[in-house]
Amino acid sequence: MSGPASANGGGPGIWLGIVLYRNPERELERLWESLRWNREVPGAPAFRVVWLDNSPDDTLRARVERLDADADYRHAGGNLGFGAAHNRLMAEAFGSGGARYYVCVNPDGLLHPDCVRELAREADQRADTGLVEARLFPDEHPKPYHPATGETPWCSGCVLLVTKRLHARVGGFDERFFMYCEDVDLSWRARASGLSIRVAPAALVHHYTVTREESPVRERMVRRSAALLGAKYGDAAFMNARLREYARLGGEPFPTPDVLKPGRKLAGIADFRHHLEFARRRW
Amino acid sequence: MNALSEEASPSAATERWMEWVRSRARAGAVVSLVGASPALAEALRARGLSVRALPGPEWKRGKGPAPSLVVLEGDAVERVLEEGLEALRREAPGAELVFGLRNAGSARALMGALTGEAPVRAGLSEQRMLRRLAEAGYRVAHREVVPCASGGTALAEDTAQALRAVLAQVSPSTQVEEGLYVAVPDEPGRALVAGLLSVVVTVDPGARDAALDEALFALACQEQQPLELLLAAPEGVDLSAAEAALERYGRLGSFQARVVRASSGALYAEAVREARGRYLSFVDARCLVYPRHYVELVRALQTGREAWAVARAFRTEWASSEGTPPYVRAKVPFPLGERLEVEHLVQHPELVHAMVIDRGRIGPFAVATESGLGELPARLGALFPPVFLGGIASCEVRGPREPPAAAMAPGTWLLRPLDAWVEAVARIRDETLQAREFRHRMVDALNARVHGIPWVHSTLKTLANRLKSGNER
Repeated sequence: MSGPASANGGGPGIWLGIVLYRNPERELERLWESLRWNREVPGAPAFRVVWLDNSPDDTLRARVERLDADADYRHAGGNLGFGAAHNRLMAEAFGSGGARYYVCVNPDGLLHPDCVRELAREADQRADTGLVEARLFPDEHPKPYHPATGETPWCSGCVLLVTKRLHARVGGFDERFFMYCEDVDLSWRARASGLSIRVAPAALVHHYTVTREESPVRERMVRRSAALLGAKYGDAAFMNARLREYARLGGEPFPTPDVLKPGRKLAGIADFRHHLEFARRRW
Repeated sequence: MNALSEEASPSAATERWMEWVRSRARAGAVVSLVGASPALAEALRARGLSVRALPGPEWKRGKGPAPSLVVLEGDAVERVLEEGLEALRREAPGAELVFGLRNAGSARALMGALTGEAPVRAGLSEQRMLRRLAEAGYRVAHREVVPCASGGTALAEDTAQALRAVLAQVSPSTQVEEGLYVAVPDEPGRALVAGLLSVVVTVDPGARDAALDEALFALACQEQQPLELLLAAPEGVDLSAAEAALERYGRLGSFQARVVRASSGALYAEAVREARGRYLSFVDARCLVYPRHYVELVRALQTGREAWAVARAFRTEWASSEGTPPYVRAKVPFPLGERLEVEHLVQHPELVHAMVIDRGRIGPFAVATESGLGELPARLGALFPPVFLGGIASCEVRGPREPPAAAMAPGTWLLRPLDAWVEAVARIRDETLQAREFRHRMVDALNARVHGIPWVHSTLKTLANRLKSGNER
């Protein structure tokens, strides 16, 4: 491996965390191949890959080890959820692992060969970097970012670089979000704490969900997480609207979250005017 | 053989034929004449060439060295082209063929037969000849043709012109009355591979490496299988970065790739010739395909009867930038609406990058012409109504701004059943009426809302009347 090492004993300064849940073999093969590309390109930084499996059993261990005999595979023992699983890895990466950057990698994405290098390069640009997201490809996310600086209202968790500074300042994901909207929440907290969150336009991740088969479970999860986000940032109307949608989709009742009063800074950052986009769309 | 006989005097035609053959008979050539006139044999011998004259119509290898030039005349042309080409290619593998052909598939011959004014012209059509040559492993390297004369039928002039134009659109060779040809050995033409999609990725000299890399990355990640990518570039264009990218992405096992090189003018034709797939598509560095783009297009063709399928696309507007990836300012879907109208094919030449052609359903239609691909959707659409996928756009064409509409060649004719036209006109009329009704309803609603505010109402009414009278002037 090449590239900058950590300050802690020469291990890779970048960790890639992949949270699994019953993934098809082909999906993992493609992802692994794309990680190999990322090690081969000129100027590729060294990185370590850790797999944390949220599946009910460790069937995926064999699949992962077929791809990489030395794979760092761990079974979570149950479904921790997206944020909690990444938090577990992140804590290790920034603690005993001595990493500078932790990158959340969705297993259904395919990283362009330059992705990790460009994420790290963008993160290195500024000392106050909190988050850097890869640009979704081929159908770019319509939320805006500044063409010159890359600053964006929130970062997608699909392939997301988290800095050690961010982890130290605001912690990881809010584990009350089982899945969805935890990335928006982390982004808003990062901004409120004065950190910069940006898109790295040259870091591409192939991830296309527009024609993905509709899943009522997923739709319900999105509404539930969005309702929680609304409650956390004090927007009762937004929360109630999402809860109604959740109920219409047949979601099991759950205790209505308390509507909190965020600080002035957080309230100024949170954006609920654009439905589930959380920012105005470019198109 | 009397090629050019109807346009030139018999002696001049014969002289031109002799000249044509002599031009191919280089010093040291071993010539095999099949069914040729003694005068031609004599003329070639007089130039010191080794000549073996066969009475024809078959060609036979005989003893001695294999011929380097085989000249076909009279009945030998049809007999050898139809039945003897494979043997010729096998037994005289390096030989060129020289022959003349009176095109049995010329528009004039076809229309004469159609109206009963002329008997069906015997012999081979140029299209058939080209097909047989390709099957046996030859291609036409040179040809000199006499174009088909217009007129001469009992049909009204406009009708005759329309029929002839349509024939030309289906097959340019219908416009050839007769010709002289030189065919040279080539790779045998391959049968199209059923189910295979060939995507021609053309690389212009000005294409940005990063944009091309993204186009290839998107292609590597799409789901259609099997898939063949043909990276097509004019001679001299550096493809090293693209070839490295293809090699890397090829490890996903989702496609096979090849490079096609030719001069700019011949690039598309060469790429089409080398493409093995029954399904054919064209993209360039500006294009991004979404993962199921081709799956849906090919499925539409496999389940339908159309010759080509086209998807809705995004025009992705790039803001110019220095040293950074272009910033996407907007994405605009095109064409709009749930129906693909004929005008869309002319208005949006970029639809050429959002379509798949079923080559098994277009006959001799020339996909590639020297003028490029800009007219292809309109040319295809004129003859073959496509299936339009509609719905969400499944690919992108990126660039700074909208390109101009395709300049269609004048005299292009459109084949559609009459009821399709009647339906289209009725639909447009309905939409116009609905739009007018909607406008009236909007005005009424606005009027009702501001009615309670006398000053605003009267001002708006005055303004509306002024505008109305202004429009009427």
